Amino acid sequence: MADTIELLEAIGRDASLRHATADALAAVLERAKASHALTAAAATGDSAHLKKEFDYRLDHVTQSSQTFPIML
Amino acid sequence: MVASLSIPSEGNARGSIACVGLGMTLGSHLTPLARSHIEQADVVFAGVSDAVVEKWLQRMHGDVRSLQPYYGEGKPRSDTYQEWVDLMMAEVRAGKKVCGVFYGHPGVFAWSPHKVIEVARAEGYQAHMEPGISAEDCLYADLGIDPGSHGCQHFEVNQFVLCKRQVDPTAHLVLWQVAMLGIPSVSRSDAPAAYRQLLVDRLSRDYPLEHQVTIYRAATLPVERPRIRKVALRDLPTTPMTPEETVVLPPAKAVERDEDFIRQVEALDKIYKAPVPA
Ligand SMILES: C[S@@+](CC[C@H](N)C(=O)[O-])C[C@H]1O[C@@H](n2cnc3c(N)ncnc32)[C@H](O)[C@@H]1O
Repeated sequence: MADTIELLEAIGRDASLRHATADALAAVLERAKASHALTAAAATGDSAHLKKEFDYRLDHVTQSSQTFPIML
Repeated sequence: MVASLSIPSEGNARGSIACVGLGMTLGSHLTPLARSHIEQADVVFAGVSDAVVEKWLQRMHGDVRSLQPYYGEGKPRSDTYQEWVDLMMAEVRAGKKVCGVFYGHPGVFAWSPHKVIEVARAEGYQAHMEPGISAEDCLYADLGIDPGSHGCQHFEVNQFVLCKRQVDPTAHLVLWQVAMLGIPSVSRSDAPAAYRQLLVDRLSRDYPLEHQVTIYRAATLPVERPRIRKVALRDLPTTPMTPEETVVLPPAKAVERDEDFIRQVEALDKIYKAPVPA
């Protein structure tokens, strides 16, 4: 199975892959022996599939805190 | 030969800190200079919001320390962010070359990177911020907004609601952290609708309730598309939102000419742009 992080980086940096249709990208990934999770994420545009491949952890989006110190 | 350019490393190097941005989309936005700061650091701290992105960062450096565990439900974010500064400074004071890596731009709606640079400089250490592509940059591209066309105001939503801010409804208005309105900690779910109703009450002083607002999420993984939802302002409280969404209000009024200043410019034009006699 191809390495998911490497494939994601390759898609992120390539104009035709980054803007390919979901179907075209899923087909390319299948040929590249990508994981099922990555292929499903590409086919649906939903990264939730992909996160399951890693230790699933829904992280907190970092939030700025400038208001609360002012108010308290 | 260019490839052989290098600065000889000093013995007893003093600690330093660089805060860099990864950009929003994995693989697409990281600048060569930000990558180099990461690769050349002794220690890397990661304030990113996606476990996959953190794994990507781990490929660039062998000692990546996640800042995520310092968040806690019910724990004030301001405490967490002070801890981040303390963690990074402890390594700087120990003589390490530290790199703080944050998603987007490290200095856009982000307290710790600015603070750690301020503290490091006050203690005589070298400190630098390297810009990254922020949610704001992606928003201009994905929503087709030019901040120069009408002007553009940006507010953190809690400051916007809790403080008396002046809105210019002839400009674009961008509200950050809307899902976190009234939440001083972190939460996996957005605030109850009643909090966002307060935001709508505040906005309704300057905008009609049927005004179309955009709820925007930039792609963070390169297999995603941006998510762009349009709702009427009155429906904002009941529309579920995630913490990684930003709300954009287009202008509600046309700009007005200021005849007084126009006359003054015309008077100056008569002096400075008078035709030169032949
Ligand atoms: C603490 S700020 C950090 C912003 C980040 N430093 C940047 O450069 O964009 C968090 C806020 O950024 C916005 N944000 C974060 N991720 C986003 C995304 N993927 N798309 C749109 N806005 C996002 C949301 O308004 C969120 O509440």
